[in-house]
Amino acid sequence: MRGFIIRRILQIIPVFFGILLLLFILMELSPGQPLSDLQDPRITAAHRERMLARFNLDLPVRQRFFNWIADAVRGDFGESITHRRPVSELITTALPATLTLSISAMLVSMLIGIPLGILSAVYKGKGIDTVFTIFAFIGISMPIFFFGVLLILIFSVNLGLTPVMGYGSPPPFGRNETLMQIWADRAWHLILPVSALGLSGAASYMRYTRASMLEVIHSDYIRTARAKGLKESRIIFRHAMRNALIPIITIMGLQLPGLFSGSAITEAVFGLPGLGGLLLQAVGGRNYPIIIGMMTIIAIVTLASALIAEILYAVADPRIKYD
Amino acid sequence: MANKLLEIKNLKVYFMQDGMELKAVDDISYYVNEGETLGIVGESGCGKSVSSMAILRLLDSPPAKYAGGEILFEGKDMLKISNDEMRKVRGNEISVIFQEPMTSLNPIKTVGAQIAEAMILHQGLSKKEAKTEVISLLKLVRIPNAERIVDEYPFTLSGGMCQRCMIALALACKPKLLIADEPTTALDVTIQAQVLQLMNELKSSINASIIFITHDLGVIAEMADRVLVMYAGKVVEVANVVDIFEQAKHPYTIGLIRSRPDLETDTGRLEVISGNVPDLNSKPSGCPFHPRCEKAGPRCGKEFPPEKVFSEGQIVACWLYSEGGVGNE
Repeated sequence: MRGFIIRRILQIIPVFFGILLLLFILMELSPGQPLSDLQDPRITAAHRERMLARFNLDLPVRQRFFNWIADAVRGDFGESITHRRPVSELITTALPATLTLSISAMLVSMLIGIPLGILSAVYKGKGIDTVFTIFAFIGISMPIFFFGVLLILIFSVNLGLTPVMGYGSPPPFGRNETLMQIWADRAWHLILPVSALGLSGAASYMRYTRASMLEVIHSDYIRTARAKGLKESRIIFRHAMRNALIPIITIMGLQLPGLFSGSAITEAVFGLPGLGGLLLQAVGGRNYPIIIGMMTIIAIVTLASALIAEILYAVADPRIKYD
Repeated sequence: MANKLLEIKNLKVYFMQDGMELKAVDDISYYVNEGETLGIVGESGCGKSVSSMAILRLLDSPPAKYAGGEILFEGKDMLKISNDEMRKVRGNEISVIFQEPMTSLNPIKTVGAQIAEAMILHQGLSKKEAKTEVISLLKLVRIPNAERIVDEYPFTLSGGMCQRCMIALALACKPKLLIADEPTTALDVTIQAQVLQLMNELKSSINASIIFITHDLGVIAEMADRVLVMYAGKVVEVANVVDIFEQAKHPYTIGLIRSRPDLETDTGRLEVISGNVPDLNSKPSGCPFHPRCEKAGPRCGKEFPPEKVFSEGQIVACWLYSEGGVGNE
């Protein structure tokens, strides 16, 4: 197993550099450029030349690629064109909001989606299954920007229970409050975005779990378990569930990288200062240093989640062995 | 006269499909004596598996529906007892060996744990005691290196080994009745022979009754004491194993026996029964075999014939042997 992980990491490294190279090429090929006069008509050609030179963007792409790697190895990920601050600083400032939002949302979606999927499969065709399936259908069909605004309308505007937006109450709140109070305030602000993101995630987990569980329930070994005289609860939890959850690992592995980028819309709807907003802004302004920095993180997380999923497979399924 | 361990009376099992009732098992009756091996033969879809799965109520319901009749096991009607009582019978007093050994074991549990589970449940053994028992059971079914195999997962074993494990699982709680549902069909011929030999040897030592379901007449000849022939959800003939092969009476049974390859006389092409097994949703009226029967007469398409009892328990349901005949001029 350890040998497998080391070998896998060694395989990941060239893949990572491949992604990076592709990224530089795609950015070079894509239309638009930073400091375009479309963004600011007052900009002069001479001024733009000077700025591009300042960020080394006048160099050929090949050279920028190697320069970036050389700098990144020393921990320097460049400077944002618009912010005039290091990319690493911008990302670390935005990271906590995104991580808190997406990890809580992922937990919510798994904790709700998987049990509902199992129940739905066990009571297939009964009332409870119909209700859950309709719930999942709505959850999958409803876009998050609509669902989020709907939640804001109901809970913030009409009922006045939760804040409309933000990642915490504005100052002066926070000057005299304890850490506990600050976190409670943050949680209060995150209830709606986490619900919006978590419930729509729960819908897809539910559907996958239900499908996987239905397949397992009708398999021969479940009939064997029943023929042994086991109780239905033991058949479901000890025999069916573990088999049914193995494919769910794949879904988890696929969703993990999305946590870093995919919640951009939710962040925008709820005005959270996260990575999603940063990335959208950077893409719009062709802010190359930020785009590359963000994409690097997403690439690393994607590669790592694939590895984690593979390791989890081996843990969950004795038929899978790596050596 | 031997005691009847299991008696099935007028059992009807229907499947609901698109609002239609498919009569998979249509009013059949039979019994199994203590210590006896009853073979059930018939083509695919004739209801042989369904009728035996019904004994433990193992059919998914819906779509299956137990539409009538009684299944008396030691006097108790298995169709009437509660689910809790049913669970105490399953795997304990009546156990099943299924057709597909490779898929009938849970892929992510060790074979030992799966066999032990039944013992822990029904006999109240501790995990440790159960493991010792499992090892001796695995030895009983001739699994080499039982001490090692007990901790193996099913995917590491061959089909024959898995089926031995299934047999061990079925024998774990010393059942009174063993239902073997085509236990050798999925195995290749040499393994088939080994498993049959093993079952024949175990038969005397476990002292259980066996219902042996198969579509292979050769297997029946080797295993069964008495044979029940089913066609399209009906029992058409019951007889001792010797009588079935030497003096079969029902045209369907005769056809089945004729269509076996014979090693001694090389007759070229095999004889066949013309036509196909009827679909359950377009089952012929009267005797379901009449469209394929050479001797059928007008009466055969109208009513199902009554049972005609011959000597020594040979029972045939065919108008040829009943009063009035097939209805020819």
